[in-house]
Amino acid sequence: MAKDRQDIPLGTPLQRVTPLIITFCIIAIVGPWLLSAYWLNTFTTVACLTLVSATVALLYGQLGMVSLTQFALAGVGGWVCLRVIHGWGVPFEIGLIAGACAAGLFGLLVGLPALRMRGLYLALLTLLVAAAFQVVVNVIGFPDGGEGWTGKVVNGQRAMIDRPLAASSDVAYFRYAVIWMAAGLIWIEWQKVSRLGRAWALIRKSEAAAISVGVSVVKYKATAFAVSGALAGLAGGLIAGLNGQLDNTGFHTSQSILLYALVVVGGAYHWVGAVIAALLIRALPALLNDHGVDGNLANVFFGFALLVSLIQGRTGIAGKLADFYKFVRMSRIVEGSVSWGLIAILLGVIAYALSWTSFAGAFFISLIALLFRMAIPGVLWMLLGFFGKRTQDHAEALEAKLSLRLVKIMKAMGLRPDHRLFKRTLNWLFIGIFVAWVAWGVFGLAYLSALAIIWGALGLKVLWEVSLYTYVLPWRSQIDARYPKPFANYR
Amino acid sequence: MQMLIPFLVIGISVGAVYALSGVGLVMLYRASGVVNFAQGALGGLAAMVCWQAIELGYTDAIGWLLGIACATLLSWAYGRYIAPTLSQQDRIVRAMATLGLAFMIMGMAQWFWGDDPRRLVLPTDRSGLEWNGRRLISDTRLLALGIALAVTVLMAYILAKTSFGLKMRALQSNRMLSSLVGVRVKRIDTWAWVIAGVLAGITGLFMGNMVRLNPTVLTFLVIPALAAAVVGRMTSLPLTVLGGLAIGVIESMVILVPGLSRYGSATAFVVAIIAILWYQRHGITLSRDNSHLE
Repeated sequence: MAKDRQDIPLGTPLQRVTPLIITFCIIAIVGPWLLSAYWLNTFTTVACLTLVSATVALLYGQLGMVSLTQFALAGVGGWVCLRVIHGWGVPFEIGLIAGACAAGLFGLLVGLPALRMRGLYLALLTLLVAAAFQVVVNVIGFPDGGEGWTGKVVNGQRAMIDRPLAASSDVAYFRYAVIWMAAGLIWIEWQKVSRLGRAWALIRKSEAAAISVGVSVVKYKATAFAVSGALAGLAGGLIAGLNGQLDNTGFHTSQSILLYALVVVGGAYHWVGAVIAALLIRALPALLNDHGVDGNLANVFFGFALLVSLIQGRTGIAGKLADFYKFVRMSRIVEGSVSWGLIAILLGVIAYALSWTSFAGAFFISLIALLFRMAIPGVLWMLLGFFGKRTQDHAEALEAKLSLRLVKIMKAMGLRPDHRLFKRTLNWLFIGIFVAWVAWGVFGLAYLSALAIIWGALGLKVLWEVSLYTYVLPWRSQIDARYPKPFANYR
Repeated sequence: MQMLIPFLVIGISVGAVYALSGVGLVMLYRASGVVNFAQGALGGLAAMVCWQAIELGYTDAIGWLLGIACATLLSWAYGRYIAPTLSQQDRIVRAMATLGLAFMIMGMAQWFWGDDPRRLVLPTDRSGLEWNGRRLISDTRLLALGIALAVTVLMAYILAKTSFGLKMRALQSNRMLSSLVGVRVKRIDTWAWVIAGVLAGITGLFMGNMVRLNPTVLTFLVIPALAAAVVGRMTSLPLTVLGGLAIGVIESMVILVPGLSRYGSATAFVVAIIAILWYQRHGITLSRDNSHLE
């Protein structure tokens, strides 16, 4: 089988967890500003479902086990949470914890036979459990303050549970749910690179190998099942708290199956995948609904996406995003664009202050210059080729000589030497002449002030880079070491 | 006793359809190692297409043929063009991929036909066996039972006695070695998908008639069929049939037990879970899994 992931992710636990903390802090703070009341509640549900999909991803990504029962486990958690709160009138958190414990126990119970089971039968067993749970919950219903052990009101007003005191408004409850969800995800991410994660990786690779080095397969598999059950149950309790009650129809078997499918689509090896899965299962149908598209078409899309992601390497959308991120880091697009964008803004301000042209005009001219920068060196090199290969060689030799001299000067000045600086300066001087001409023709700008803008930009960029190089270069080499360029070895 | 017989008869006929669906699952699993979660969706599609054809004024026979042909065609296309791209993967991945197919068919059918209440009427519904002046069993149910038994015998014969069956069993044992000795793996595989498609279509028609004509409901009726197949350890045809019949009978008899009657539809799952645990306790391997050799 193709190797489609790292066995254990890179980095220390703290390094793995930091982006998660930052992301969820931003979401918790900014989210309520951006969302309307309807979407806020949708996204609270998304936060709860993220936790459920994270448990599916934990079992599938870390241990290679397919569990189709996680949504039912959320149902168990929600049931117990409602029952405990209605029965004893305890605070919300205690109900939540009770639900999580019950679901964890239930998950362990389902998982126990799985300890000796091969992949396919585990999937079937969990599917059957989920289907049986659906039947049971359809009959007994979720507790709503009635008599008897089912706590079901037969005829009359259904009672609701209260939200926690600290989070009674919708906005506060959104943040409350995000905090619980983030805590669960952070715990999982932390474990991935700790003792538990290493044991899971080894068990997934080979149970025999794990046993031979003294890793207890039973213990670690059971831990995974109990923890994923507990987290799913926690999410169930959170959903119950959001609406004050639960509905039988929400825990259909199809939801459990769909959740697994979407975790595969989102990506089971990264926490972003869990977020994507939750967004797809709840936010996408809501979005389609908003635009009057039939929600059933979402199912067609999900099925198609599942097929595609199973055929292509199984890292899902999160994997694709990670690849894209690596590409961006590797090609230094971000670094170049940021420095150029800042210079363009600065230049615009200067040009405006000296009333040569408008701010926007100067800004756009420098951006056009950036575009030319990408095309012109190649064109020039080609033109030079018309005079023969020798001319090209001479030009190269001359350039190398001058570069060396510049490097020496920079060293003498105590700056970090850059052997490419000379070539780039030359490029820019040349491009300036062209672009100023364009500015003169197209924008009706005086040729000399356009040239001044562009060469000014060049000067700023050179100054900027030379003065910052001491810091930028080590950072660059760090990136290069982490994301080696393809074909780098053939040089 | 007088009261029990109608329930028993209904149970047996529903069980026979579960068994038929389970036989389709087992056949495909034995040949290509794929647990086909899309079996129910294919059947649902067949039933809906059949209903649509009859609604448009075609004769019943054309409707049935069209329905079964649709299911078969889709199953063939999947088995011929999509399943081979996954043949190097784990069994679990190949099984989950059919979930993708199931969602696509279900979504399409649900989008096209929606949730309106419908009935698929078969001509055999009107006649039946009479006993003591009362209708005991409709011919549709008799037909289902008959077809289930006949198909099982036929499949068992094919597997045991024909060279085609021998090749299928070779594939089950080890795909790479079979291709080395000259078995045309892809062709046999595709034929298995075609057989599975035909069986899915037939079951779909019966289910649409007996249970409910709704794409989503029919899609998830694959779970009781899976339960029957699990009782047969995904390998044994007779055990699968027995499992299906037992599930059907218990499911319909439970209605008579006070307090349990509303849990009837969980029978299949409970039976299968007990079967899995029992097999495991007694050290009976649940189908030979040779994926480590593939």
